[in-house]
Amino acid sequence: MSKRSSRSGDAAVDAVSFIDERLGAARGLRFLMDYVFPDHWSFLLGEIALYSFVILILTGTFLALFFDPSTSQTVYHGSYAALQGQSLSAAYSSTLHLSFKVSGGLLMRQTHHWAALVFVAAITLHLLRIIFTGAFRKPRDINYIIGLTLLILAILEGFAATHCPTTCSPGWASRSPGASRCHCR
Amino acid sequence: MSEDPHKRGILHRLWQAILMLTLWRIGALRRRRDPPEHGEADDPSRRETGAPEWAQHLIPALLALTALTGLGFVALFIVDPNTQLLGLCLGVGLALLASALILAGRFLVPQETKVEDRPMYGDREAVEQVAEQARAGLDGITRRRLIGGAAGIAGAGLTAAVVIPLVALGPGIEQQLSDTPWHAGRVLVDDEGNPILAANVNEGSFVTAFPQGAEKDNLGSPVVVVRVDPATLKLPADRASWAPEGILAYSKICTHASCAISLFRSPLSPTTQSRGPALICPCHYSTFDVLDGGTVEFGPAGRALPQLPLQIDASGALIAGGPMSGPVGPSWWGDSK
Repeated sequence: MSKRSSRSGDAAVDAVSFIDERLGAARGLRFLMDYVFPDHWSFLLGEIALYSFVILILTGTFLALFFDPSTSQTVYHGSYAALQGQSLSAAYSSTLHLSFKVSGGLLMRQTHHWAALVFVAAITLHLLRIIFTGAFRKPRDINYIIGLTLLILAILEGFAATHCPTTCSPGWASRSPGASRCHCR
Repeated sequence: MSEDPHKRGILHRLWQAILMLTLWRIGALRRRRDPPEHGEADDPSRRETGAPEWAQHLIPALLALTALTGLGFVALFIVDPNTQLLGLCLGVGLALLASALILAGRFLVPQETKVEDRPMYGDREAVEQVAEQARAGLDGITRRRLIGGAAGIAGAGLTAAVVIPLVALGPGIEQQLSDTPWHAGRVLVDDEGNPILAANVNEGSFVTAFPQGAEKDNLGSPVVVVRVDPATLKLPADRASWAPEGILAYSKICTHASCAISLFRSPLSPTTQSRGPALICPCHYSTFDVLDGGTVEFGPAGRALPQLPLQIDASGALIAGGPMSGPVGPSWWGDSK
């Protein structure tokens, strides 16, 4: 009791103790603040990948609220005049709705798109940094293999996402007799 | 041309001057970056404090501009959500924030350089202790291999139970592919919907047919109908009844890249006389043997053309005798036949 009263008044101590008394986080905060980070810009490539991923998750969650990943054919009656009355896949028509009707929807799509590009580019450059600094050797070898796996997953995800809005890559969706027409526009 | 050497001399001197200036600048920058001498040369640890006056004014200004762009975004979103302007606001705001943070990182907060020792793994003593403890855990157990094997089997079984349902994530394509509009009794019609009479299909002619009442642009719909001499047929035994009067029907969609098959090698030229009539895809020249159930004779196609069993009804019209013999459309790693 006396200990606390003697310290109160110092804003920094008050703020940290507010957190520490509830979460016991002072030790973890100290670890974070003492963390020694290499003093070269190339070590930030991994950070760029990480924050692109965070943006991908946030914007992707938003897109998932509106996107309908369906190949079933619907007749389009939306705000995009050029496709009025055309028979489109539900996926494509929901993408049009997201782009033209939802406020900020196109911005979210574009942000997601660019974050995905930056994500893969940053991982690749990060991989180069790891290769050229020899950071793939023991004791970091397991981490290196995990990172490579993540790169492969990111590329596969990117490939799948390219086909989301139209779901009609020539060799895949168009060949199923149920989806009779291809709507790549 | 006479003044050329003189001109070149001036340019050359200018170039030299620029080069020297550049090198001098780089040298100056490097000198500034060199850590100040702090007694011991091995220990680069240092701490510099003191923020310049201009940084203490510029950074708050940048942060205030960042706030403005944020408010601009909100205002635009309400008034006129134009994607380009929204993106511009957000982009400029993030660029301002980034420059404020970079300046703060370089000029505002204390600059600290520290050296962290690399943690040395491979503590022999600890490893031996752990191994010893692990060994002690087995004391008194005689059937170790049995128990270990049983645990492995339990793990494998549960893993299979968890992994197998993931198949549901994949597309259920197999059934979709073999699910064409063709079934027994469906009448073959031409482009305009008129039934195709067996008598109208002549040897050497090439007729495209569709299932009556079905959507024509479904990949499973179009078939090619041809007539050959029944005596020359080499169909497998289970397809013996699929070609009444020597009339055969095959899917019109090439199994290589789903082009429409539009060439029929009949009548035969002297050079192909030994081979028999064939359906040929114009895209990559996949050639399918008509007499032999559509097997690939030449070209990149990976599997035979699906055949449609035919019958002739009482009115002389061609009708389907059953579904297609296999999935229609281009092959992929899942289709082997």
